[in-house]
Amino acid sequence: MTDRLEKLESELARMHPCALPKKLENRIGNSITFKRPWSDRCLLSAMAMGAMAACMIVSVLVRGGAMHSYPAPTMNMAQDMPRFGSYPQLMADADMTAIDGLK
Amino acid sequence: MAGESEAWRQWLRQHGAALFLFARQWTANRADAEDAVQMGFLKFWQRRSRAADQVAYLYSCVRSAALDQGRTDRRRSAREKSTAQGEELMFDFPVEHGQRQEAIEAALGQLPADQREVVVLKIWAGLTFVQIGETLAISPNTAASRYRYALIRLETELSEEVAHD
Repeated sequence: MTDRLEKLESELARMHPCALPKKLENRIGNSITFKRPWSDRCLLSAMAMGAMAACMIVSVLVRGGAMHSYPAPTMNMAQDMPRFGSYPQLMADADMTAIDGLK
Repeated sequence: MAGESEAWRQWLRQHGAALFLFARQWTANRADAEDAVQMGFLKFWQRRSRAADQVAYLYSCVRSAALDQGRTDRRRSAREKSTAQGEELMFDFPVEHGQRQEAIEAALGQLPADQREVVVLKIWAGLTFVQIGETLAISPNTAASRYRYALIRLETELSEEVAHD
């Protein structure tokens, strides 16, 4: 069995796969050695720098906003405004001697 | 730069035919196999410095490109039938051995994909079982046993064919 397998193996090794098509080799070569023209490179680098600048501005703004965080304004009007019934309640809670003193 | 240009040419000269045959195992036709070889080779070329074994990495890149291509093909009808048993032959045959080698190619096409790819890598790419293991993400022992099963199966298939003739 081993002999037969070895024979088959050498028979397989004698077979030659089809060569890589020349046009494919050229395509691969073009992709590897491809260089962008200068105008494209300048445009791309300008776009990249613009994007970086925009990112920096945004990050500065976001950080600045986070550092100066002021407390949100609150309305205490509701608490300060007298309501119906507040006066008798206050009078009831107050120290009577102090009130007598006022009189 | 000239050295760089020679280097990729050298790689292609050495492995081109085997890469093409290997990619052909997973794609429906020659054009797709060509695309897979191109994509895989470019990926390999850009990242080759990181690879521990560059040859194994090259085949692994082409395999993954071919599998991606194959997934796209799968949407087309009758893909399975055309894969590796396609409309055109994958080997150059000398006229005197033509019939026998055609039979071998047909028998190769009948092998399960996981065995066939090991045979291609071992015989025509000349990889060791360790390299095959690295390419296919399997152990060298598994690669070796798949190879042996494949040879036995091929042998059986071919001897049956001879008996029929």
